[in-house]
Amino acid sequence: MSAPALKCENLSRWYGEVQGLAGLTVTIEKGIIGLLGPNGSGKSTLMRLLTGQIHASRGWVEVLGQRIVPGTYEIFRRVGYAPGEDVHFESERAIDFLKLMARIGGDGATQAQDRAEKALHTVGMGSKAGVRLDAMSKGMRQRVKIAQALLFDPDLLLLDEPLNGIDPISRRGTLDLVRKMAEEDKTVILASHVLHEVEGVTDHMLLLHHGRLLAEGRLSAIRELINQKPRRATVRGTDLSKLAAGLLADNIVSGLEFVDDGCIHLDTRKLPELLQRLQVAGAEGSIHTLETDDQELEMIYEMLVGGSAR
Amino acid sequence: MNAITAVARFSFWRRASGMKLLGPGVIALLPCLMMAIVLIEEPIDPFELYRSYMVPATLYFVLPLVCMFIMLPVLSELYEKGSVGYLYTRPAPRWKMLVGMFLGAYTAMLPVFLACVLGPLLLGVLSGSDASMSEWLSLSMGIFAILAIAGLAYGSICVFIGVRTKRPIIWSFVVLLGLGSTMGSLPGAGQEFSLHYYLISLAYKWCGVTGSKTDLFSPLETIASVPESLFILLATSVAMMAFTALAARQRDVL
Amino acid sequence: MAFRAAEYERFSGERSSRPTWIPIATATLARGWASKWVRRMSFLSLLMGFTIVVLLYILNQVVPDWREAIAIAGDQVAEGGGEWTIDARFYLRLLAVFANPFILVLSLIFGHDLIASDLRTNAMEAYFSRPITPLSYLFGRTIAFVGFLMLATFGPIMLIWCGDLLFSEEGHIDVIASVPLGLFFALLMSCTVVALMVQAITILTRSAIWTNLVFLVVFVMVQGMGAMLWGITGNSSLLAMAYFQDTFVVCAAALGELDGIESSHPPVALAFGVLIGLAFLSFGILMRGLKRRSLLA
Repeated sequence: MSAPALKCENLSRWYGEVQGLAGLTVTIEKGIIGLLGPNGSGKSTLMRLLTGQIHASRGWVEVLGQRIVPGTYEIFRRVGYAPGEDVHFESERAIDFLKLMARIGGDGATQAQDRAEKALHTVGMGSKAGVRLDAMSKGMRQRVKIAQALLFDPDLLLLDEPLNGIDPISRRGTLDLVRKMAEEDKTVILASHVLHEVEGVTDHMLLLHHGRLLAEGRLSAIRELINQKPRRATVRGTDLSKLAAGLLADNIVSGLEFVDDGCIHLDTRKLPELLQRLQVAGAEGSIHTLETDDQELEMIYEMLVGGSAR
Repeated sequence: MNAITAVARFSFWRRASGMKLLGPGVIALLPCLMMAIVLIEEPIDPFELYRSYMVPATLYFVLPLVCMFIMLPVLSELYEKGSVGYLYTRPAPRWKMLVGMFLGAYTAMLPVFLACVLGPLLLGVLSGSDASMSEWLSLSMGIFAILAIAGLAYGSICVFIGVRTKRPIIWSFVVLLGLGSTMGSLPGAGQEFSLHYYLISLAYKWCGVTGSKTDLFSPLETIASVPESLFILLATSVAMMAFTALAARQRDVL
Repeated sequence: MAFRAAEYERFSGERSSRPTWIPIATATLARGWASKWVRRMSFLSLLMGFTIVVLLYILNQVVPDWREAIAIAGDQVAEGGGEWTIDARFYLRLLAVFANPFILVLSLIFGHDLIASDLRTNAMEAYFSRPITPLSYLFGRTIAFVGFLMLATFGPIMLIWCGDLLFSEEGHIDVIASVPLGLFFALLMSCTVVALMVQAITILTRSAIWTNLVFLVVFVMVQGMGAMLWGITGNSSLLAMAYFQDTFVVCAAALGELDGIESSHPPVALAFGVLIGLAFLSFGILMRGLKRRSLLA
């Protein structure tokens, strides 16, 4: 039986008096895992602990069966890590940056060149190999960061906010890449604070909040809970009474409140159907603005911590 | 060895590419400028001027400042920007990264030191010195050798400070210019605790320096032997690199 | 989820008439005060001044006629030079204790980051997307930093001056009357030059660490070069390349204490010219750099 991809026991980390991560105990076997949490919840701290960039104040962590302690390095041949921050070696060309990373990992010059080119092609940056990193857009650099994480065909890929700043096409490409890795029986830990990004590739998540593990498991179970909760949409536009009457008649909204002539609040337990109807009305030009309380991650926090998430 | 050579090459070009060597180059040529000013003002033999004034000035000011310019940002800049994390998450021990970064930057420092000794040499020869070319070359190569050895010691201290502290400039100012140049140039027992003392000792032996005629540098009362000086300087380099490796193991990448 | 028709409403409310440099200066003061080392250095400087005041008090209590005693001792040691009297020249000597080290250290720990942090965090672009002119921005930053420098240099000297005056006999004020105003203007000028220069270096280097390195070269190496060149050639004009020498001479001129220091210090006109030249050069570099940045934003 192979070792779990990640195992931590009472893993804690303080930054002075600030708690970065508090008593995290979790075991992750294989697959894609969404590491969710708002800013400051401890996602990046966990990533850094997994990659040995910072050390635990208490507890321990094992990656692919290897305990991460000061001086650990062999295991990083099997671990790919793309940091969340937009950090880079400014004057390097993308290909040189990747070659450097490969050579530090033990490759010879030719092997490093091949490996770097392959990684850049994988993230769709093959044609930009000669561009300097500081001349690239943030999205392009994000893909180069992912490329360097893929260099050694890792068994465990750690991606910290990998979709930040990249366009929809690259975003889809990145998520396809994550899915492909999972199909190859590898593990990907995808940190994000945007629920639907993660939801597109996995149903398995770890939810962090204020450095603590709030929930672990299937997202679908929590989503069912959310759907049972009434949602509110605020619509501004013209001829809203006709729209409201239609929605009430079809039993899509459970309650409505006219704020003024041009604005109504709609309460619903069938948000997808409501959005579909509003989309049609929007296309006809009778709706100017639409706002929903669909900050799903925040709702999950509210549910799990009893309203103290904000 | 791949990791060390790859990082060393990266570190060298990082320090030597573009205009990065302009600042240290200007500092290195300041003794030459000083010589030019003095030669305009005073009828003095350039060889004597170089040996008695510029060699101590080079060791007192140029060496620590060039080291600070080139060696201090080697790792502190990467820590400041957070990009050191890329190096530390590679499958290679950290000490290899540190040695590679150090060697690359050290190599970039050598041409600066060469410019520092060749500038006054050319100026001295062109301005009609009484000394022969071989005397000039001997003096210049002597000071270059001292700078190269001192670069190892002071450079490793800079790299250590860059990894260990978050205020590298202040600490390197205190250590290199305070405990180094200043303490090593003041008379008294404390002098021997400064690396500068051993550099000046080497300058006495290899360059024929006998103390400056200005008040800035007092002549040494006792002179350390060449083996002792070399041992102290090289041992310091090795020890500081070992401390750097320890500090890098402990310091968080944030 | 939200979608919104493109619309823009121009702000039509009342705008504050407060000058725009004030929030910049306030923010700079707050940032400086938030720095542990800036506070430590400022307190250290004031504490040193306060300690000297306490010493003066104790001396006054224990040996009431200590001023005459040390004057006689000074005459004997300096062979009639009268070096040991508490007069305007005594305050000039205090510059070596309070001005030189604290200006250097505060610039290294705080001054280098005045603009560098704004460049690093892209705050500069945020500032210039507001109705702030480069001049207001520069003025706000400079005045706050000069405030810290004056607190650490002029502050303790004034503490000592007050203590000296309080524990002295009638007539002593005539000897030290020129000190507050003279030193205030001279130090204000020197601190402003440093504040402008350190920011100008940042505009050129765009990095906090490089600013400090260049600053060290300008202040330490050029200082030493000036002293060496003077030592070799005996030409005191060459000392004008050293900032602290220029500061000393300008302060001495402001206190009317130039007698006897001409041979070992640069001429006052040259020192004054160097400081003014540095200020204008730095100001020019800053305005050019900031205007470019503000246009970009």
